[in-house]
Amino acid sequence: MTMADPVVLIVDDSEYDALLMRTVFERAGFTQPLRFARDGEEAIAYLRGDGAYRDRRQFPLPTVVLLDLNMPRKNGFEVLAWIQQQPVLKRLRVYVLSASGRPEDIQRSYDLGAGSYLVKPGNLDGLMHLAKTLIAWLELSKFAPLS
Amino acid sequence: MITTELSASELRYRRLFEAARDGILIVDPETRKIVDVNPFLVKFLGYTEEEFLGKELFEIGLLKDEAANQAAFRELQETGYIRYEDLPLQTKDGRSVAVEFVSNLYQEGHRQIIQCNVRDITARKKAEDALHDADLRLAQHALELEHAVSRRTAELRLSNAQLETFVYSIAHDLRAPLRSMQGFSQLLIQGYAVKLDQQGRDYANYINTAAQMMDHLLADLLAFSHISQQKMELVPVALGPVVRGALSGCETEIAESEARVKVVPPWPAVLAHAATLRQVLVNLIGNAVKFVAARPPQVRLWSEERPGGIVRIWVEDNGIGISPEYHERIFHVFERLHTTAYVGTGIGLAIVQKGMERMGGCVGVESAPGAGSRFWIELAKAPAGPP
Repeated sequence: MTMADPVVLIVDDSEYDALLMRTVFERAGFTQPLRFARDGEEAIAYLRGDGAYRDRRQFPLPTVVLLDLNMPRKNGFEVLAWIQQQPVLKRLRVYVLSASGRPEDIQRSYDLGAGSYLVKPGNLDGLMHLAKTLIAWLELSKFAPLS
Repeated sequence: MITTELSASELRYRRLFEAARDGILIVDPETRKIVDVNPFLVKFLGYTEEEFLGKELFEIGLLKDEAANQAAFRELQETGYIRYEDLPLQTKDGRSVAVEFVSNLYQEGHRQIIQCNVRDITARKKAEDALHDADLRLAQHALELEHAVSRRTAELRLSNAQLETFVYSIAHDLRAPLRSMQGFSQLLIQGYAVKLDQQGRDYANYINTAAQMMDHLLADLLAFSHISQQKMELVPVALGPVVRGALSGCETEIAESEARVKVVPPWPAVLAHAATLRQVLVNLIGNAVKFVAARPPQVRLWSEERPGGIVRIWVEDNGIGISPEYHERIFHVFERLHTTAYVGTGIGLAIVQKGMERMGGCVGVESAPGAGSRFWIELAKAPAGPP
C-alpha cells in the first residue's frame, strides 16, 4: 500500500447506511474498497489487528476513519477515547459521521480528539455530496505513515 | 380620730393583701428576712406561713443563691425597684412554675420596707411556649413544603429533560431507517428507471416522497421540542436584521413560489430571543408563500406600535385564507386543514405559538377564505437607550 491509496474505514452499525455509503463512494469514483466495522468493538479490534483483522494486507490500517456515534457494544465516544490512548494511532484521522447535530455531542467529539464532525446527510444527494467532497479532499491531502 | 382612720386604711390594705390574686411578700430591708406573706403565695408555693416568715428570699428559691440575693438588695437600695419578668420557681412539692417578680422599696414612717409582688405567669408562659412551638412547627412545615416544592420542581425539570432526550432520540432513531428508504428509493429512481414500467416508477416516487415528508415531520418535531425546552432569555433585539435573516431562511421557498415579498420599515427593537423569533418568522413567511391561491404569492411584512409598549409584526399574504372557525385550531400541534393540495406537517404554527408563548408574546390571525391571511405576533418593545 502506498500513500496514494488512502484507506477509508467506515464504522456504522446500520447495514443500510453502510451499503448507501459504499454505493455513493463507488458512484463518486472512489476506486479503493471501503473497509467496514459494525460497532465500536469491531472498530477497535480492526485498529489493533486482533483476530481476523491480523492480516494487514486484507485489513490495512486506515488513513481516515468515518465514525458513527450511536452504536451498540462500544459507541463512537468510547472508540475516540480508546484511540487517544494509543500512541501508534496518533496520526490517524478520525471524523465523526453522526445523525446527531446536538451541540454536546459535537463538543464531546472534539474534546475526545475528533478531527472533524460531519452530520450524516438525510438523503442520497447529501450523501453523494459528502462522498465527493471527501474524495476530493483525500486526493488533495498528503498523509504521513501512521507510525 | 387619726388612729381610727389609720386603722381603717390598715384594714383596707389588709383586705387587699389577703384577697390579692398575686403573691405578696413584705421583707425587712435590714435583716432581708420575710416579715409577712399573703395567703395566695402560701397556697401558690405550698409553704406554710411559718415556713416563709424569718426566711431570706433565696431560701425559698425566689432568688438563685445568696450572691444573687445580695445583688438584688443592692440594686433595690440604689434604684428602689427590681423586676424580673420571667423567673422560674419551684413549689414546695417540686412543681415548676414561672413568676413575674417585682420588688419595691417603700418608706413606711421612719423605716423602710420591701414589698415583693409575685405573679403567677405559668399559664401565660405555657400559652407563649405553645405559641412558640406552633410557630416553630409552622416554620418547620413551611420548610418541608418548600423542600417538597423544590424536590418536585427538580423532578419536573428532570422529566422535562428526559422528555426532551426522548423526543430527540425518537426523531434521531426514526431518521436512520428513513435515510435508507429515501436513499434506496432514490437509487431506484435514478439507476433503474428504464427497467421499471410507469407504475414501478410511480411506486418508487411515492416511497421517496413519503420519506421526504417524514423527514420534514421529524425536523419540525425536533424544532417544536427544542423551542418548548430551550432556555429563553429575553433581550433587546433589533427587528430589521431578524426579519432579513428569516427571509434568507425562506430563500428556497420564496424562489420556488416566485413570491413577491415586500418588507416595510420601520423595524423597532423588541424584547425577544433572536433565534426563536427568527424561527417564528420563518414559519409564518413559509406559510404565506405556501398556501397560495394564484401565483405569484404576494407577501407584505410591517410592524405597528400599539398602546402599552407593544410592537405588532404583521405577515400578510394573498393566499387561500382561513375560515374563522379554524383560527384557533390551526395553532395546535398536528392540526392541518388541507390533505393533499398543500404539503405541511401541521407543526409549523404550533412552533409559532409555542415560541411566542415562551417569549411572553402572542400570535393571532385575521383571515377569511379567499381573502388572504394576515398573521400577527406581538412582543414588548425594547426599552429605549443603548442595548
